[in-house]
Amino acid sequence: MSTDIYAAYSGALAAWRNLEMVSGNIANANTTGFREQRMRFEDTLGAVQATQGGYKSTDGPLVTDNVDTHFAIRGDGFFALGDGTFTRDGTFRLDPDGRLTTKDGAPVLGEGGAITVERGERLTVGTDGTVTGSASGDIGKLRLVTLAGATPVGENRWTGAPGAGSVATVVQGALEGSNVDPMRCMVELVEASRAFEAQQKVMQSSDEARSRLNQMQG
Amino acid sequence: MRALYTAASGMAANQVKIENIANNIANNGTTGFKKVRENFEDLVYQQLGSRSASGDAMQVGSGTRLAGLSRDFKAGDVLQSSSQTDMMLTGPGFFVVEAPSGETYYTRDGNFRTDLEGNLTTQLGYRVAPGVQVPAGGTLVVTADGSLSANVVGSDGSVTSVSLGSLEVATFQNPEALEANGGNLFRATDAAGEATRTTPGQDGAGQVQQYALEGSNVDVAEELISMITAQRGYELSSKVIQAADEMLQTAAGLRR
Repeated sequence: MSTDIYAAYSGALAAWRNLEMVSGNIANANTTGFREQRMRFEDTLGAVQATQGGYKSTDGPLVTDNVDTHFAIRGDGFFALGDGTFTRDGTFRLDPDGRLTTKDGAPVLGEGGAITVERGERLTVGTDGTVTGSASGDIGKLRLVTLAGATPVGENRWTGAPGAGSVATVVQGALEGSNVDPMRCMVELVEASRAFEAQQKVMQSSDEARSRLNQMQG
Repeated sequence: MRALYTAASGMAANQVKIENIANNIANNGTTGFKKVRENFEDLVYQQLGSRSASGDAMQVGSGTRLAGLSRDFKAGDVLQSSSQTDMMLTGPGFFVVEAPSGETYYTRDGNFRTDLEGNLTTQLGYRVAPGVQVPAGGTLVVTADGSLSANVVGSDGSVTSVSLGSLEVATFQNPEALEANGGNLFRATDAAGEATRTTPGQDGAGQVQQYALEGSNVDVAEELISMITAQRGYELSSKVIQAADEMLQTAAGLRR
C-alpha cells in the first residue's frame, strides 16, 4: 500500500483543523477576555498532526464602560471563581446579598473568600485588586492567579493549576476585549485553503501514478 | 463541518451587535436613556485526537454566543429646560413613579408634567412618588435635596410658599440588572436587589436639579466605531464559511 496518499491526507486534515481553529478565533473577535488560539503542526512518522499551540497571551483592548463591577486584567493573570474555574472576563455584578459574582452567579474570590459589600455601598478597586467599600472601608483583595496549563472550557472560563505571584493589575469600570487579530486570522485562512489544495494535488497525482501503473500491468 | 457552524455563530453575534447599536443610536435623543453593551462568551471546546508525545491534544472551540447585555449608567448631558416640571438627578438613583395599575417603576427621565388635578406625573400619566399635588396657579420649586414647595400668588398679589413634602428617589445595589420596560421606565428585579427608597442627596443618591433634563448617554461616534467592527466581523466570519465551502469542494473533487 502506498503511504504518500495517506501522508497527503494527514496534511489535508491538519489544514482543515487549522481552518476550524481560525473559525473559532474569528467568531470570538467580540468575546470579552477571549484569547486567540494557536496551533502547531507536528511531524509523526511521515504524517502531519495538528496539536495545541497555546494561546496568545497579549492583553486584549481595554473597553471602558464605567460599570463599577466590571474589571479588566492587564498582564498575565486570571480572576479566581468560587466554582473552581478562572476567567479574564470581568463582567461581574453584585447579587441581592451584596456578593460579587459573575453574570451567571459564581462568586468571585478574594484572598479570603467571596467579596461582599454592604447594602447601597459603592466599591472601589485599586490596580492591585484591593477592594474598598464607601461605607465599610477595606473589604479584601481580589485573588489574581497565574494559570499553568490553562485550558478554556467555554463561557469564558478556564481551568488549570493556579499559581500565586501574578503581577497583573486590575482596571475598574472597563472590560478586556478579545485579543484576536483579524488580520492574522485572514492570513491563516488563506494559508489553510492553499495547503488543503496542495495536499489534494498530491493525492491526485499519487492516484494518477498508480492508475498508470495498473495500465502497464494490464 | 464544524468550521461552518462556528463561523455562523460569529455572524449571528455580529448581527446582535448591529441590532443593539441600532437601538442605541435610535435613542440618541431619548431623555434619560442609558446605552446598552453586549457581552459575548465562548462556547464549549472539543478535544480532537489524543495527546501527542510532545504536546496536548488540540482543542477546538465551537464559536460564540451572547452572554448578556449590560447597561452603562454613566450620566448623560445636562439639557437646560424652561419647564418647571422638568428635573434631573445629578448622580446615581432613579425617580420613582407609579402606574395606574399600582405597579412601581423607576426612571431617570424627569420630563414630568402636572395633570388636571395638579398631580405631578410622567408624560404617560404615571404619578411621581410619593404623590405631589401642585396647587392651581402655583409655581413648583424643587431644591437640590428634593424638597418640594409651590409659590402661590394670592388675590392681593402676595406670594406664599406652600410646602409639598419631599421627592422620593430609589437606589439599587445592582442597577445594571434592572429590567427595561420601554417608555424610559425600569422595573425592579431580584438580581437588581431591593430598591432603597430615600430622598435626593441621601444614601448615595444624586441631587435634583430643576429646569434641566438628563440627555441620552449614547456617544454616536463610539457607536459608529462599534458598527464598523461588527460589520467587519460579520464579513470575516462569512469569509471563513466561503473558505470552508471551497475546501469541501476541493475534497469532493478528489474522485474524478
